[in-house]
Amino acid sequence: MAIFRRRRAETRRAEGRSPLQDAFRRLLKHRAGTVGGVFILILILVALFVDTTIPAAIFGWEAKPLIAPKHYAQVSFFERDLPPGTPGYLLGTDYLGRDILSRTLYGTRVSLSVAVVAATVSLVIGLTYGVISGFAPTGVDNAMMRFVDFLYGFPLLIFVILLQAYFKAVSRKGATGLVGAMVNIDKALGGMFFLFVALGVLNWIGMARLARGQTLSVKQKEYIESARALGAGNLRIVFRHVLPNILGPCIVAETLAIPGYILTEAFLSFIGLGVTPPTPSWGLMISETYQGIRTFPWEPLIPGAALAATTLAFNFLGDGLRDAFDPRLRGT
Amino acid sequence: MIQYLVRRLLWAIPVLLAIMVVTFFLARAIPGGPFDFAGEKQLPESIRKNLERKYGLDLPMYVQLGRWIWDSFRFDFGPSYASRSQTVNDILKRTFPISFQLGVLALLFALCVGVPLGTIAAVKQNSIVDYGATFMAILGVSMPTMVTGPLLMWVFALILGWLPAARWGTDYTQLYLGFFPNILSGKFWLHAILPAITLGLAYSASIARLTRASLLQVIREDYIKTAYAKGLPARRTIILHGLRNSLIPVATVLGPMFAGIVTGSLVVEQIFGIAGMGKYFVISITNRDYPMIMGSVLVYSVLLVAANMLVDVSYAWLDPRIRYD
Repeated sequence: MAIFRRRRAETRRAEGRSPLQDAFRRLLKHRAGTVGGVFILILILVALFVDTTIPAAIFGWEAKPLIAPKHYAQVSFFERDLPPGTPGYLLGTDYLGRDILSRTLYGTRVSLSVAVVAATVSLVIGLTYGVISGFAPTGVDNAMMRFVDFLYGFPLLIFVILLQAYFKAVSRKGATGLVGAMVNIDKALGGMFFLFVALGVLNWIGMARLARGQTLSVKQKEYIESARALGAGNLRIVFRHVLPNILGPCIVAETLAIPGYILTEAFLSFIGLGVTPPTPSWGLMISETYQGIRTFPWEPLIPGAALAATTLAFNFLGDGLRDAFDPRLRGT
Repeated sequence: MIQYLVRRLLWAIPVLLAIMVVTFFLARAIPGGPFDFAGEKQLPESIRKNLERKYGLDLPMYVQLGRWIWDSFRFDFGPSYASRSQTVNDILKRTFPISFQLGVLALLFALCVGVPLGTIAAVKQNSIVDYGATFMAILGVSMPTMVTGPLLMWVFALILGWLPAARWGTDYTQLYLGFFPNILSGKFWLHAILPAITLGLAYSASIARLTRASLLQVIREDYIKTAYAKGLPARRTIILHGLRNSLIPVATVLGPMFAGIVTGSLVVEQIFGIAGMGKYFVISITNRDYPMIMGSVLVYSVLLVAANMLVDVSYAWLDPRIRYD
């Protein structure tokens, strides 16, 4: 009986709160999810203020390291391979005498921008494709889904490798027109722009499938029928009724996919097809130093720890969000 | 069932053809050709022209594409531009078995660790064992091979000195039928342990999570209660009745997982200095070694398509309710 009483109390308290607020409250109760979220917030702050790029861009200053003790590409030939704890170099230096702490801190920029951009691109393309497919006439829907099935059989990561090789070679050779403009953007971003494109191409398929499935199930609900009866058009139904209702599961799925994006970026940088050196990506830092692990174990292990901690945080947050948006799945 | 298999096989043909066409044009679109340089020096125009004529690179694109597709169906992947003494077939014959062994061992490790771990966690839900297993699983998922590889190598090979740090334990000349390793050889296993665990660890973790989640749902089903009511012992009920059904989601991810293991082996092969396919694939891209690029992509794709098909077939075995029509 006590259980029933508590349930009723919960229902009473639940009045006057939106589902989103509810979800947020549940997220705060999820300990690991909260820890992950806070860690990611800290990472975002680090990425924003690791140097003064942002105020520098606004006020026209020269960017200086702010949180990071040194610039990521500052080479010091006489201070190579110093162990952690050396005065001035908290986490030691790498094979070019660059400060590992600074490079690791700068590395948050690459990982987080990849996470944010790839997730947004995949969410936008996948949602659009999925919702259109779910709303289209059966023939079109079938065709669109056959295309997705078709792509599903592709070794997409291999194509991303080839695509990146293409982009890299183009940007080394130089180009004009639209491709030239893209090359310039890519150079300004230290080789990240093409990564965004490649990751976006890779990752919308799962989201499209999920969004279509969700759309199909929402489409049959009574409130859609009543909206239609009131004379609402397809566009209004999609934006007012379908999207808000399918967004939750889609965002959860996207958050759970983010570690994959971060790891893909690290993977591409590791095999030399990611960011352009000396842009500090954790994957690149590991690939540059793992061969010296016998003598200088900290050089690959520190960026490795950063990479693992970041993916762990996103996994925790994703789990927390899933439990928060869909309490039935708790603990799975 | 057979009808379904035939249909799947037929569906695989356009997929593979499309993959071949896309690969062909993507590889050709990369600026720079295979004969631009000899070492550091740029080759003279006339020599480059002659070399290109020799390998048929001066022919129209569609002729080259057609020839390549035709040759591939006869399992002839052409010469390697980068190492001119051997054909792509020679290289693949040498490297593919090693990559395949690595992949299979990693997958076996993932299954043999993941499924029992997930089962124990589900059976003892909300116990300390469960929390420990779940935490290990989420930690494992978050550790990419490029972190676990150097870490495991450092601890077990360099500090403790228990295991060899690099290389694969068997040479391609020692393989039975050119493919199977001597599994009685201790050297093979000693060398295989670190790379296979590195590659399989993340997958074992995600398999454990999936197994736990789906077993938790299955355990609450009526037919499990029926099995208990019949007086079946718990162990038998869980393993024979529960686990089999709960493996369906696990089987679903095995397809994509296999693809991940194939590409993941690029990193592992590099870290542990294993002469597998992955290493040659990455090198072939920088060399613009078109036949090698296209041959490797084709092998990867066939593997992926075959893995997806196996997964679909395994559904029927795992869940007799699933019928193909």
